[in-house]
Amino acid sequence: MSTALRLSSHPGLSPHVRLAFDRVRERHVLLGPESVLVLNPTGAAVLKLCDGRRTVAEIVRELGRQYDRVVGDEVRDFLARLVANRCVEFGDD
Amino acid sequence: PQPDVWEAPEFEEIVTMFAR
Repeated sequence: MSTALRLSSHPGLSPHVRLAFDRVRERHVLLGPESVLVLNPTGAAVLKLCDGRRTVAEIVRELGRQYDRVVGDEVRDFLARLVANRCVEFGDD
Repeated sequence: PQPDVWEAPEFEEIVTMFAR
């Protein structure tokens, strides 16, 4: 089992978590068994790309096509916190 | 088309079986 999220890691949503759109809040949310995480728009954009196939570096590169700039460390920190919350899992090559 | 403005990705934890 990997412990540190790297640029070469392949993040994906944990099996018990689902990404959904909350029409009331007009925000994407992560639905877990006992918690709901409300995401900001960039957080949702990051998680939409977490399919277990793309690496963190590829996700950052893809976000760069949509945003005026992308801070790779912020993406990695965000995903690392979701790993700590057990909402995201990742594999390494 | 103008690119979206980047802001640090964040989440706020709040309770879900919402899922249905």
